[in-house]
Amino acid sequence: MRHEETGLVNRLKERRAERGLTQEALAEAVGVTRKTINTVERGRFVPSTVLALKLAAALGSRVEELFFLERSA
Amino acid sequence: MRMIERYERARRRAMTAYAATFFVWAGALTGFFAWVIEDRPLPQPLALLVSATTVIGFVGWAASGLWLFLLGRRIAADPKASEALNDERSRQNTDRAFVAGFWVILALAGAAIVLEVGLGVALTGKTLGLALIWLGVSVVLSLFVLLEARDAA
Repeated sequence: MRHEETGLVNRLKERRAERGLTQEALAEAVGVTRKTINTVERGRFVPSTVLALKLAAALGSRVEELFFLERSA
Repeated sequence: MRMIERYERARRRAMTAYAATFFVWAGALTGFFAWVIEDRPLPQPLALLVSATTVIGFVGWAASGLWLFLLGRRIAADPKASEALNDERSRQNTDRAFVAGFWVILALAGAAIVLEVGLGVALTGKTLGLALIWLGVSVVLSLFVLLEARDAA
């Protein structure tokens, strides 16, 4: 999903699905609410660096595999 | 559903009730001051309606405020829930709501100046102050609730 203002693309939903995690489970793992995971996946919210790193760690991925700018895709 | 999600839903419901009752109560109170207290012409039934709404609205607002307070205490007793419910998205929604409230108050202040200076409508400080609080706070509360509900959808 792409965040319109910044052009940030994320593959959070796909990676989460690969790991068999619900939004709730991922939210619990990183200390946010399910709706925050939802807004990141839908490209409505750009997470902070800290949250992005937590998400990457929780999904066993590198941050660059989860988030990247469209022009570098 | 984990406890944090239950708290989040409960908070949204409590804040919706709080925002709605505040809008009704503060609006009626503003009307009460603008017409009844300052003795502007108002048909008796309407004056009674405004007065009754002020009282009923206050009771509703106080009750929803108590609900929000008690819920807040339960959440505060759970550090994980407290942190999650105040995560960066909620903080962003809070910031956006406050910014919108600021602009509404600014616009109302401008409108009051136009009314007084341009159109000669007499506004007392009490009425204007109440109107600013009524609409400014209502916008902040309502927008926060709307943003949180949209994110949860």
